[in-house]
Amino acid sequence: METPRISEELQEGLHALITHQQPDSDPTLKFLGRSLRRERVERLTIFIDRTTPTSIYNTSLIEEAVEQWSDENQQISEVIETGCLGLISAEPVIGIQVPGRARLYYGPVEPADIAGMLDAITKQVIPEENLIGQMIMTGQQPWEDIPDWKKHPFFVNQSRTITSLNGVINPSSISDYIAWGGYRTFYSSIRNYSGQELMKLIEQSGLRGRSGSGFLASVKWIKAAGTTSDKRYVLCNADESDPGGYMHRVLIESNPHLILEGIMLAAYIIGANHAIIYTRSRYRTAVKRIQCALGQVRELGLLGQDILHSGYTLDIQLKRGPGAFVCGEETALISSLEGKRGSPRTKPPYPATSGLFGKPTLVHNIETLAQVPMIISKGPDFYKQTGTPGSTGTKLFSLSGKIKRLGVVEVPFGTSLGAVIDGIGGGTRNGRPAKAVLLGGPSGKFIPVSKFNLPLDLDKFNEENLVLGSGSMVLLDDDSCPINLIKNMMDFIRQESCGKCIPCRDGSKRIMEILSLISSRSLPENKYEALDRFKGVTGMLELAEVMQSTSLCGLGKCAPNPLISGMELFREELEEHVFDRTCRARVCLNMRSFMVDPVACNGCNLCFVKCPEKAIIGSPRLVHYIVDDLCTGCGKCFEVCKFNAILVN
Amino acid sequence: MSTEFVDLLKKYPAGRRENLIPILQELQDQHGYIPEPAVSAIAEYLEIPAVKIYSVATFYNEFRFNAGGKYHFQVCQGIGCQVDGSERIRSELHRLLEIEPGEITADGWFSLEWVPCLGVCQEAPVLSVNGELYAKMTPVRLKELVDKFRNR
Ligand SMILES: Cc1cc2nc3c(=O)[nH]c(=O)nc-3n(C[C@H](O)[C@H](O)[C@H](O)COP(=O)(O)O)c2cc1C
Ligand code: SF4
Ligand code: SF4
Ligand code: SF4
Repeated sequence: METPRISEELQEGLHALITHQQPDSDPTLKFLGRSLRRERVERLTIFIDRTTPTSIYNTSLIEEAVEQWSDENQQISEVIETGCLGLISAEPVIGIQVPGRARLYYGPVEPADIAGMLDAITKQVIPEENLIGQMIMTGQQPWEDIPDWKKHPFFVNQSRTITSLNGVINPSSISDYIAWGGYRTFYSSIRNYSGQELMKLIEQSGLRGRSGSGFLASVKWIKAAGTTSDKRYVLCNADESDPGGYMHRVLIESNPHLILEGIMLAAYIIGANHAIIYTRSRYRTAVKRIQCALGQVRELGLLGQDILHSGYTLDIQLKRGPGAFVCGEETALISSLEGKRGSPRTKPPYPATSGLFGKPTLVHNIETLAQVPMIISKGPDFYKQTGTPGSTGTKLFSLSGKIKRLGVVEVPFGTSLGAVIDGIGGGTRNGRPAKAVLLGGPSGKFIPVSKFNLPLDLDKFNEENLVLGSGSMVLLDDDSCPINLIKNMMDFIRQESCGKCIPCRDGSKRIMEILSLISSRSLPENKYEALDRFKGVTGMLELAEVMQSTSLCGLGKCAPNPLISGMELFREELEEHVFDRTCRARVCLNMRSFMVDPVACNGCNLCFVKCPEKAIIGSPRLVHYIVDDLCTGCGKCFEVCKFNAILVN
Repeated sequence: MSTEFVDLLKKYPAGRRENLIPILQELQDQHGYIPEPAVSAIAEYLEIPAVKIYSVATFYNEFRFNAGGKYHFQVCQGIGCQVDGSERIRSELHRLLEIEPGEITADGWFSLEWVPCLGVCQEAPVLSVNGELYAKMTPVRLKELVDKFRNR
């Protein structure tokens, strides 16, 4: 793995930025900081988001377009890679900055747009198409009449603290992070404060786990620090196993050093000399970013023996998770790190007293650890100003499904669900009525539109018996079928169950079978089969309750959540599936029925050729006909007909 | 011990079970799958029975014991994609290739895998073939894609 070497001169500068009491009081350091923050640039600078979602758009073509424009116009330009601002539906997002002026963000941008945009901007004319806004930094002259990017509806009600540098800095450059004040907190902590002193700050901050548990962090920290042992570990859980969420991947890809600093502080505070960051190996870009970041901190001497002459020794290792939902569970994760099958074990003992290799291990979600630098640097009183008294600070959510503005958002705890979905997310994509939101993925519950005024607050959610989850929010509109989604999630659970407990392993399989029967078409079914189907439906809830109460780990315990909440909320739709055998959203495959519209059909014969079931009769130039009994509802005819002559019911 | 894997194994201390998964990952990175002879080599080196290695390796969906197809399809199983109809893509792919996830077609051309959110929900449903992403898939576009590969 290659890490670009940091020149000795720069290393010196970076050390000074970390260790100097007030870097801004020293003109040389101030200049260095401003340059590294790119508050001043000497040439035309283009910032290109290179996080995973952009891989689909071939952003290197944008880079080529910039180069070509620069050659043709004899301009010197520089392209800098960045992370993601969060607004993924506007990808590919780029920033354009000319010397002396504020940076402009655009998205979505096509390579073909580049020349025109650069022509205009270098002539001080600002194209407004696809403009997100301008980002004004110290000492820059703002563009007139151009909105601040923070006023954009996606950003205006966010409270970007742990994501504040996402999309702004180059995630592969430690200088960027340091220039924005990075690692200063770590340095001053290990030089000037004891672990116990800092622990007080964590206690006072009220920090709670962001993985969905909402567990009070300090309880674990005190346990882990207080258990006598020759070795202690900090384990950063960046597995992000919820298939509906992507906020952690975006966070790592956009600002990996923040995570490292959080881990380093936690390790110092509980007195650990070893830390591990565990992320799934499928997150290739994230893995690369962490590897690169680790190389850089080692090179600068921020990890290793006697860090910056403080006497403190720490190393962080990256471990790649080989992909299993259950490995997000802390004890399963630990098993996996020990080289075993990733099955959960019973608790207690909790990892904080006996974790990795039997040693005290502080396991935290990546987002929880990302809060730590701010708690220490700004103090608990400042930290507690954001959020609610019980849930302090901010929370990340990833918006997906039928939402208009997709992406990663950071809002204070206590913000209402509606403010996120309708305000930040802009409601549904096609303006169709929203149906519900699924929070917490396959372990989560549906929340109906009528409860959109609910504040996103851990205690409030507990009170309402709802699940806040790790932050995945999936919006369903009236074109989405909850029954289908529940079935697919149960299928996911079936695949991912570690098989240790029978209720989880077999229960998920059985429920999945019942749901499959419900959501497929009424193929000729004899009396017994029909009876079986009804029996299945009536027994499903009972099965779900057994799973909930007798499964060992959260995977099995929470797996019935979507089903139970869905059956309550979407009773009518469920009954339609069961009794009428129709899916009103027309999502359930094999449940739709198809008909040829005799007026629109021009007899092109295409559907006849394509129907895999030979369910269509007709000859060229004549109106075609679908034999309902043969049709399995695969939808092929609908896909191929160029004349909108296939009607779906 | 077969000498083929010695260089790789030597990077890890002998007899330490916690290195099993990193070793398997490195093998998989190198070969695209875990070659059978490697298992006995690892067993000897880490001093654990080969069955244990299979038991661990089969637990995780990342590890494979056969080479992937020439075209390896990974379909996003993220909830965002599901809401936008990835089930149709999956069932169509099933039908077209006639294999289950984890399997490979008899001619060795295609293999199939369902993967967690690829993070491009705005372009859902998405799939990736040998790492390249294809967005806004429909059964018709899928068929075209498969045909294109078949005719190469
Ligand atoms: C099935 C299952 C999957 C989990 N997946 C994750 C995950 O992907 N990331 C995570 O941080 N915690 C996950 N957890 C929770 C962890 O067990 C653990 O509680 C968490 O890492 C503690 O972090 P926190 O205190 O910062 O919230 C999962 C739990 C279960 C039962
Ligand atoms: S509940 Fe399911 S995943 Fe959890 S330990 Fe039991 S079988 Fe394994
Ligand atoms: S494809 Fe459409 S237009 Fe052509 S025969 Fe079928 S229904 Fe008629
Ligand atoms: S839905 Fe499928 S099976 Fe039914 S008529 Fe159309 S192509 Fe044939």
